[in-house]
Formats: sequence, structure tokens, C-alpha cells
Amino acid sequence: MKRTLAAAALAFTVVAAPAAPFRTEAPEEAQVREIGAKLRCPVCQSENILDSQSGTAREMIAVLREQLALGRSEAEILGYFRSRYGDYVLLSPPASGFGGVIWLVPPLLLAAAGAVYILLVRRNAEAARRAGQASQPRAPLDEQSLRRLEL
Amino acid sequence: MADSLIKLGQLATCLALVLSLYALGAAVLSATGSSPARLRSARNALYANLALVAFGCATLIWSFVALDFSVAYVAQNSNSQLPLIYRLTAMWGAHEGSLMLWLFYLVLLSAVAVRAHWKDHPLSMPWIIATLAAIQFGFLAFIVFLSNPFLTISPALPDGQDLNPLLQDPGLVFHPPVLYLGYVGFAIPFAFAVASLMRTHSGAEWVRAVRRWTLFSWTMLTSGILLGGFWAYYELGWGGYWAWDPVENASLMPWLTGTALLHSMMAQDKRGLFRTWNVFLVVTTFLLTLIGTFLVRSGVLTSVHAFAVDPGRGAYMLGFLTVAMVFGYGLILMRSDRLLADALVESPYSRESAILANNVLLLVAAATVFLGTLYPLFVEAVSGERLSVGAPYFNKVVVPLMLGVVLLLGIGPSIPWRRVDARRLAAMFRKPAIGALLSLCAALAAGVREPLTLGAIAAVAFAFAATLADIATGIAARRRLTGESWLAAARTVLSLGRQRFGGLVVHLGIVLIAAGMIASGLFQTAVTVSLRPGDSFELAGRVVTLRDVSDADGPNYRGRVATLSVSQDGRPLYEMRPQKRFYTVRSMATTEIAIRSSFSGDLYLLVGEETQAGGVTIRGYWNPLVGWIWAGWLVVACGALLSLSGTGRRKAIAASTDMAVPAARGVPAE
Amino acid sequence: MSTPFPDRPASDRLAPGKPAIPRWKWLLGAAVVAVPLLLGIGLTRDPSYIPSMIVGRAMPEFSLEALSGDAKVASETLLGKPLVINFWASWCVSCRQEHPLLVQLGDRADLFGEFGIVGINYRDSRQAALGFLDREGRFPYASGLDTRGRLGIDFGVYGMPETFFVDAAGIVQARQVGPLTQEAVERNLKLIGAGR
Repeated sequence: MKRTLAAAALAFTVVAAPAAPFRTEAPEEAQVREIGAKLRCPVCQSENILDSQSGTAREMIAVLREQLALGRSEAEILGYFRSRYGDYVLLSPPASGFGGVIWLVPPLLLAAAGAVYILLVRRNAEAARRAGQASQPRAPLDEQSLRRLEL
Repeated sequence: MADSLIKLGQLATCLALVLSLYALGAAVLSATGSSPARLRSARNALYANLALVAFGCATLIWSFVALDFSVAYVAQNSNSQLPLIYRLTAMWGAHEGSLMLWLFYLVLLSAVAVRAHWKDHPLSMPWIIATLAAIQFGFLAFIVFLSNPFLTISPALPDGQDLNPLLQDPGLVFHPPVLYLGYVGFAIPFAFAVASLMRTHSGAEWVRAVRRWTLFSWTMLTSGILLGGFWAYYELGWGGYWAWDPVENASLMPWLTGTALLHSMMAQDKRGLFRTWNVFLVVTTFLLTLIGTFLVRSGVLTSVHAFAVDPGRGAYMLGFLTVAMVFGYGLILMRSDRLLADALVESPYSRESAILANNVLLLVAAATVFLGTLYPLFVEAVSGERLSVGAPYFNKVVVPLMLGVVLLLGIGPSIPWRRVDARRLAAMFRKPAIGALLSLCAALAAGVREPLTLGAIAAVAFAFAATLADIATGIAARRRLTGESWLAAARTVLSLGRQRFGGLVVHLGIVLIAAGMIASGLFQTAVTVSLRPGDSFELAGRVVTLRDVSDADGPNYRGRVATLSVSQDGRPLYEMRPQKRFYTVRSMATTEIAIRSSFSGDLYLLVGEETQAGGVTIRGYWNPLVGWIWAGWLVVACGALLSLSGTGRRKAIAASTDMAVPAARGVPAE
Repeated sequence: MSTPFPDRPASDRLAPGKPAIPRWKWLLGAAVVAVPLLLGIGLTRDPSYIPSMIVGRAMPEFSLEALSGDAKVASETLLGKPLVINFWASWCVSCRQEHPLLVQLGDRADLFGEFGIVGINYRDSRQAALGFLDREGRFPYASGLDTRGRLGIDFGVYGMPETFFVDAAGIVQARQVGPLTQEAVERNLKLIGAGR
């Protein structure tokens, strides 16, 4: 049964192929996806406008398409929604004001933690050297495992 | 009869509340060591609680199965048409019942932990029991007074309101139970750490006792998180497996600190390092599991996962969280000086140093997720402005850190403890580095230019090669020794070195997961087209043709389904049927995604708007290597099982090496 | 009572230059205070609340088809005196709560003419909207159809129902999210110069 259907489907494809139009996506669709992923749906609030099922999100996508057709840039489109809903509608916090602060936090944290790491290891290594606890460099682990497995 | 059963369940839970308070008091009073009988009775109270809470849960599940709509919770979350499997699992579909699940795990793991460690830790046991009893009390009080699932309504409703359609899915059967087991599991190491801080005499390392508990909890948490991602990706139609939603972040944070804990515990166990840091980490991980519970139920942040909001409950949970925080961190602040002095990190080229670097990266990631999730709240409290910190931020900021962790993952297991010569180190990793370079060249040749993507590919390739090399070297060494076949050598090596090779296999699984996430995240292709029946489009080398769009109604929903046939090189392969549904009772719209998985990736189709002329918009994605994420998870589970099954072999090995182990210094084991 | 384990050498603990309480302890203590405080403040807030961007700015222009009748519902005809704009829909359950109050407001506007009032039927169908009014009672004023919700986006509507209070100069002075109450109406009417 499956094979008959498959054959029929194949025949249909072969026969229909010249007539079946090939669709490619409109050039702005990629941008719609890209910019849509940056906009929060203000109604359901936990999804971006592409994933959301709400009508407001669908209308916002329509607005997005219109704006793209008018040739607006991503910054202008984000600004359009920002002027209506505020910073909340931007999934990525803006780079100025309060938003800017949160962007600075991760590199600062990493730098601080890195500094702690370097200082700790350096101080520890010095203390170890002073206390004479420095041991001979160990052999790579495969030889160690070898010895261990001989038990 | 049904009515009295649920009342019995409520009674059992109230009794458990009283007993938990008794256990707390009795355990604290017995801490001086002068009355073993009192300690025994505290222990028995915990055992009794297991029976009582199990009974309570059983009555609740029975009420669901029997469709007893006189129970308010059952009426709110089920309906006469609900299939049996969901009647069995709907208990944890909403707030009150999910707390019962949490509580059940808590009493179960408490009883098991107390039973398993009773003989080995007589001096710590009072504090362990007291801590666990206190946590039990906190949850029991919450359930009995503020979130009672046993409440009845009379007269009973003729039918229920139905379980949320999104939850009528196999995911509900697995995701919460596995995830909660991971959360609750961290209470045990927490109890042991509290015990070690409360006692003025700190004996054998608490980390050694709870190694398996921590690994078990970590594995469950990993599995729970990945199951959630699996569920979201295949069923719920949010277009991906991770959205950086506040509740998802709440599960990621204890995972990040838990992973750091696993590794630094190893350092404390082997070399007596990071003692204060480890108690801090375990308390933090436990507190983060509580914060997750708080965030999803209190209505402080909006989330797709949020249960119904109730600030009253939120206030209680915040109180409980604050008490736990003050107690846990307060204990550290006051007692950390009494812990044994740490040993020293002797060289930047050592396993200790690599573990420290691992901890740094993971903790920075955890702190970033924490601050990012709570930042909107902070900004609003301070200025009244509302901004949002969403997926684009977290992706940009956390992913590079995780790549660093992946890189370390390849290096760490092979570096010896204490120190290694820098040149020797470089020589050890020459082959994996060459492998990384080759994949980098391949990526460049394929047209990849983005530096982050290139870095990701190199890191994953390096870690993959290094981990495989580690495993192979161990097996090869054995072969050289005994001349066995590869298979026999592998079997021996894996069973003798369970901890080490279990860890290596887990690392391998993580690398596979990372590869899957990077490929499906960075190399996804998408297409959005408007089609009429007979039209085709191309995606990932396949031709997708729309056959028709028709009605597809179900028992409690109206739907439209698009039938698409997929072919490659003219050969028809299969059909896919993405749907849109509208659930009438709850007025909810959902999309049913059509997915076709293969080794190299997933074909992922969604149906969108329909047009007047009988056409429909189809959104299609090609997600490369997504299946590797789930495959990698299986590998992680195997590796964790292997490591967990390792037993007393350690003692013999530890005795034979020349590493100073604290217990050997003449301090009694307990 | 068991003996305490040998302490760290005193020289290590109180080395010159080291603070009596290490810095990390201060940090941890601060976190223990700050985090519950922040979460506590969060409990008092509504996480779904979005502040209005249009309060203090000019009302967006619009020209919509009317729910009943041929005349358009247009912003330019409504300018010149204080205006109350109410977004409603047949699918919006809370709209039923404020319905009697709106009818009252409409009658008052008719009677005293101190302010105008207009409804915007948001993301709805004419049929469903008329059915809603049949059941709940007709508005004594016109409603425009914002079928796709475009005007709602311009006003920043996110939670139904929403009501905007515009002064005579066309500047939006206040926004109410959720069903109107008598108290909110009086307060906001004063803001746009139409209160008693």
C-alpha cells in the first residue's frame, strides 16, 4: 500500500513538476526573522513576536514587514516599537543608561574573577615554594594510570 | 469513601508537619551526643514522614485517577476526558501538586541518606537530620497552610476544568519528576556541609561522603533541564530548546554552580583544597534551587512557566528563602575559620589550577545569569523604568564563557595534580590541538568567518579529540600491560577506574551536547514562504511540496493541518503535517510542529497564517546536529552511572599513592 | 565536648595588613541582605506592568471605520475638547466590568459636553462586537473598528481594556490599564480639565 502511494506520489511529482512553481522566500523574510527575534511580545511577554501566538504579535510582524518595505533600518524599526512600548519591548537591553550597565557587568565580573584567580595561584605557588612543598613535576597521567592499574 | 480518603491524605500531611518539627527538635537536642535514643527517634520520625507523605501523594493521585471532582485541585486540573496517563501525572501539573512532588522527593532522599550514612557519621548525623527536618518543615508548613491540594469543594463539580493542553504531553510525565529530583538532591550535600560547619571538630571530609549524592543530583538536574529542552523543542512549539526564560535560568543557575561544586569537591577530596569555597558553593547551589521554586510561583517575574500568581505564597517562600540564606551563609560567616586550613595550589600548570579556572568560568556565568534575570526587577525598583534582559543578551554573554569551560574540559582530566612542566603539558596536547586546527581550517574553507563560531568549532574539536585520546590512552596502556584485546582491555579499564573513566565519558557527552548546540544555534537555516497547494520550496537540499490544507479537529480542539511531502533528488521521502490548534475550553491557540529527525539534523516545519486564496505561510527550519544534544545526554547518563557505580576501590588506590590524605594524619574517621 | 581541631597559626590569621573581617565576608553579608530585599520589593510589583510611552505626548492620528453607520471615527473631529478613548473588545472579559461605567460616562458627555468619549473596538469582528453591545447594552457614543490592532500598537496597548485620557490640546495625560473605576475616572477627568 505504501509503495503504491509512493509510486503515485512520484508520478504526481514527475508529472506536476513542470507546473508546480518553486517558491523562494521574499528577501525581507530573513530580516523579519532577525529583527523579530529582538522584539518581545508585550501581551504574552515571555516570547518574542515570532514565537508568540497572540494577535498583537502578528500585527507587529505586519508592521515590521511594512517598515522594511519602506526601507527602514533595524535601528529605526526597533526605535519605532520602543517609542510605543518602551525599552521593555526590546529583548536586548539598549546600550545606554541602565541597559548599558548590565552589558558592562559580565566583562567586569570576568576581569575581577580572573584577577582573583591569578593572584590566588601566584600567592599559593610562592607560599608553596617557600614552604618547600614543591614536588617533582609529575609524569603524565597515562603512566600514572599504568602504575595504578598494576595493583 | 473518596472524600474520606483525601481527608486521610490531608491528615497524613499534617501529621508529617508535626513530626518534622519533632525530628528537628530531637535531633538538635541530641547533638551533644548524650542521648542516642533521642537521635534514633528523630531518625524514625523522618522514616515515618516518608510513609506519611507517600500516602498523601497516593491519595492525591488516586483522586485524579478516580476523577474525584470534589477535590478542588483535581477539578482545576483534570476533566473526564483526560487520558489515564495524564491523570496519573497531572498531580504535578500545577502549583500545589508540584510542591507535593518536591516534598515527596525530599522525604524520600532524606530517609535514604540517613539510612545509608547512619553508621559512618554518628557525630554529624544529628545536624544532618536537623537540617533535613527543617527543610521538610518549611515545605510542609507551606503546603498545609498556603497550598493545600487536599481541599474539597461541595457540592462536587460535574466536570473538571481540564489540564492545560500544553501539559497533555509525554513531557509532563518525565520533565518535572526528573528535574525536581535534581533540585531536591542538593539538599543532602547541603545537610552534610551544615553538619561539618556546626561541629567544632571537623573530621573526614564531608565531600567524600556526598560525592555520589552530588553526582546523582547533578545528573538528574542535567537530565531534567535537557528533558525540558527536548519537550519545548519537539512539542511545545516555541521554536527552540532554550529561551533564557527566567524559570529556565532558575534551573540553569544551580546547574552551573553544581558543576563547579562537583569539580572543586574533587580537589578537596584529593588534596584538601577549597574547603571554605566548597561549603559556600554547596550552600549557594541549594539556595539557588529554592530561588527557582520561588521565582516560578511568586509572580515576581513573568515567564511561560509561571504557575498561577499569588503574592501571599510568594511572601512565605521569600521568608523561607531568607531564613535559609541567613542560616546557610551566616554559618559560613561565623564558622568558616574553624575549617581546616587549605592546602596550596602549587603551580598554575596543575589540575588544581584547572579546577579553579573551571570554577571561575562557571561562577561568572552563574552570576551573569543571576544578575541578568533579576536586573529588570532592580531597575524597576530603583527608577520605575521597565527594560528587559532577554535571549540576545544571555547568548552574547554566556556562550563565550561556556566555550572556555568546554576547552578546559579537554585539558583538565589529563593534567596531573600538584604540578606539571609547562613544556610537558604542551606536548600532551599536541595531537588534540592539531585536530582543532584542522577543523578550524575546514570551517574556514566552508566559508565560516565569524570569530565566535570559529572559536566554538576549535574548542569543541579540541575537547572532543582530547577526551577521546584520554580514554584511548588508558585502554592502550592496559593493552600494553596485558596484551588483551581492545574490548577486554576497555572493559577492565572502565570497571577498574570507574570514577575517572565515568568522568571522561561524561565529558564526552558534554562535548557532544556542545557540538549539537553550536551547530543548531549557529548554522541553522530558515525559510518563510507563502504557498498554495502544489507549490514547493527548497530547504537543506530537500524539496518540500504543499499538498493541501485541511481541517483536523480533535476531542477538545479545532485545528487546521497542512500536508507537505518532502523529496530529495526527485525521490519522495516522507510527509510532514504541521498543525495549528485552538482549544475551545481554555481559549488557547497552539502550533503543532512537524519534525523529521536524522543524524545530520532536523527538518522543522510550522504552519502560519492562511490566505483567502487557499494558500498558507510555512516557516521551515533546518537545525543541524540537534540530535547530538539528546545523544550526548545519553552518553552523559552512561558516564554518570559508571562513575556512581564505583565503590570502595578508592580506598585501596588512595592508600597506595603518595598523596597526603587528611584521614591518614591520625584524625579519627568520624 | 570534643576538642577543637588545631587552629590555623595565629600569624596566618592576623597577619599585618589583613582586615579583621575578610573582605569576602562583607560581600557575602551584603548579598544576604540585598537579595531578599530586592525580591521582596519585586513581590509588591506587578511584573506584567508596562509604563505608558504615550502619556505626555500627542495622541496618534487615526481615521477608522465606524462600528455602525457610515461616518468615520477620526481623531481630527474629536480634537478641541478633552477626550476619553476606551479600547474594548467582545472577547475581553474584563470589559464587561467597566461597561456600565462607560455607558454612564457617555451619557454624561452627551448631557454636559465637557468632554468627548469614543470607543475603539480592538482586534475584533463587527459581528461579535455588535453582539456584545446587544447583550451588555449599547454605548451612547461611536466606536471605531481597529480590526488588525494597528491603532492599539500606536497607543501602546498591551492589556485589555485600556482607557486613555486626552486633554483639549490633544496631549495624552493619563492611561488606565484594566477596567475603569469611578475613582480612576474622576481622577483622570480632572487631569484633562473635565472634572467637576
